[in-house]
Amino acid sequence: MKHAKIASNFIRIPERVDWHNEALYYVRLKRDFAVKRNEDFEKLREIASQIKDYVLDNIRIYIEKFYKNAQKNGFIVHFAKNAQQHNEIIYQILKTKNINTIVKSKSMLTEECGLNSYLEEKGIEIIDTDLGERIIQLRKEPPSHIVLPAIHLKRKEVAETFSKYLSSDPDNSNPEYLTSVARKHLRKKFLEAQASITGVNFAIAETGGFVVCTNEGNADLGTSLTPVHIASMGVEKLIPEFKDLFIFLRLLAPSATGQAITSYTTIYQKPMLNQELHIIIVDNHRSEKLKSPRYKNSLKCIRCGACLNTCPVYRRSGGHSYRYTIPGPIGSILGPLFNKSEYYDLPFASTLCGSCSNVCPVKVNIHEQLLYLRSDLHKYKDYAPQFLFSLAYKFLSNSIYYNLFIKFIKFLYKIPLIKFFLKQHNRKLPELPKKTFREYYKENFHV
Amino acid sequence: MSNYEDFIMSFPLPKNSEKPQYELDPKKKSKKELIEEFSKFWELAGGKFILLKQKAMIPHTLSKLSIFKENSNVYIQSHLKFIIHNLPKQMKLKIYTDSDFYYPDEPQILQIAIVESQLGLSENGSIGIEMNTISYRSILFLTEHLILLLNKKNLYSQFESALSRWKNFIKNGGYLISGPSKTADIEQSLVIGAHGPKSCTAIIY
Repeated sequence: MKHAKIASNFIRIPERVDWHNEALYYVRLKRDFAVKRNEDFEKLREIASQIKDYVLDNIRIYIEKFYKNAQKNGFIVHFAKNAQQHNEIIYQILKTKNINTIVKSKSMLTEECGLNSYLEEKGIEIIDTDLGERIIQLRKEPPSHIVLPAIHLKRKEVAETFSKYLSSDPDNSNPEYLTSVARKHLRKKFLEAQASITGVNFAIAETGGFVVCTNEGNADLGTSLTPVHIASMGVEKLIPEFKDLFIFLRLLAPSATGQAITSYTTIYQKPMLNQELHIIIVDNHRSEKLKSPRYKNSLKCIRCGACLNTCPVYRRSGGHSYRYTIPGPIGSILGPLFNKSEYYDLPFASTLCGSCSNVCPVKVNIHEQLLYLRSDLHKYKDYAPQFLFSLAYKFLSNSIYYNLFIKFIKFLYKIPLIKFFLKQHNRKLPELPKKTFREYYKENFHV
Repeated sequence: MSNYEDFIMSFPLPKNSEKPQYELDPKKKSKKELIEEFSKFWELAGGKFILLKQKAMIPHTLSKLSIFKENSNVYIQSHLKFIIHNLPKQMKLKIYTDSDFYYPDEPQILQIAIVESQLGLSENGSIGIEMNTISYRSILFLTEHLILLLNKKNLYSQFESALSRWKNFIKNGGYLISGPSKTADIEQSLVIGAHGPKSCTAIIY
């Protein structure tokens, strides 16, 4: 179980786990507060879910509609079957224009496609401009959360990183100071950049436009300064009509951070004067997922991160233990669907408590899909020793064996070495009740 | 690289189902309630809020703001002549209008930008600016402080009630802005002024 193994590194520092857990739960509480403020929230979730289902059922119609309208708007539209094609398209655009400095705002799709390393190998400087993304880019780490990419780091670690790469004061870990250092550093990069890359939050088939949401304004700064803007989107970002955007905007920010709306919501309808605007529509296994009745629902995800913030496993195991671009409950579905052999263990990194499904703004049945995946993947890899399951079956299906097993467990509790071993791994055995349920029942109910 | 035909063939055939129809109950609010709700969300987002009785009070109100310092570089949209002409001369402000910039990076010299907006939404405390109303979009993000003017007749309770206003957004694109640029990427501590304006003031008249 790779997840458990990597998570064991994360939980080695209990203070970090506590902080991570509490910080994310606080975001979850902010979400709850925002949801309670809106009496229509449940209705909005239902509408959004139905719209997404409808678009996914008719995706060909909406790809075509968006393609035609986007071209009318003056956008240059490209199609990429996979990550390789996506990266090549971007490289070709840059190469043709002799561009070697780019600023990029947060885009999980470009992470999924491994764009940064691809372009860096070609000698192109690509700067992540979201503060959290820039911190982890300097540290050469992947994001650990889709909305809060550096949530696993403490301010002192950020101060060390900035001191090393941006020559800031290593002893000053005040977030305001660190942000001002990043602002100065990134402002220069924005002004030097020859192209900007953004993700897409929503692509509107009816108008051929698209929407990008940020709090920092980094996407807007990049796209308003550079003569080339490249927007990468997965097909699942499509929504049918402009008015549907209102439904999704009412759900995205409250679910993500508890805000009523992000600081900047930008509707791109045409390129600026003297600007080229390219849109890359990416498949990268999405068409396969759409053909699966069990899992196509996962493509409804709007990347708000609410399921991560609420997940007791994610909060205590950290995002890097998932390894996939998108961690947490939704990533535990998308990861194995993307690459079974690499991410087969992720559906097991869940308590199946269902909290993820309850907070999902588009009603993805996350915990149910995780359960389906467990059954679909169990033969794929020996994710847990099969003999343990056979043994459990033996003991649980026979009362004599079961009673013997209980006695054996009680005996194990008395061995100090076991307690010592568990303590070394930050584990503690729960107290055993004095009597088993069977004994208690017999005594109290005179059976 | 895929062409459109190859790309589309990978996806399942459409079910041609009916698009779900929906309607949200309209939220009717008085102007006073709209302004109260707007200011609540705007200030929650870190923005500053000023309500004026008359448009003519704008220049005087601006001159009293602490962000206006002597020799500040101030951008004012060309059509806002009543502001340009009525700001106190003793402040020695350097006024820039739309014709003063030739490249999108030039507004980096700005300390303050004053821009007229086209709509406000009380349900989330956001202000809408159509992209074609500003010569360089970068002005909104390069300036240190952004001041957005909004006529209260353009303040709506919700997205749907501003339907006629969205036509230009659909045609030219636009921004919905809610407060200044911000981040909480370092230990979840909220910091204002991540990349764009360090302050954002809404003046409703």
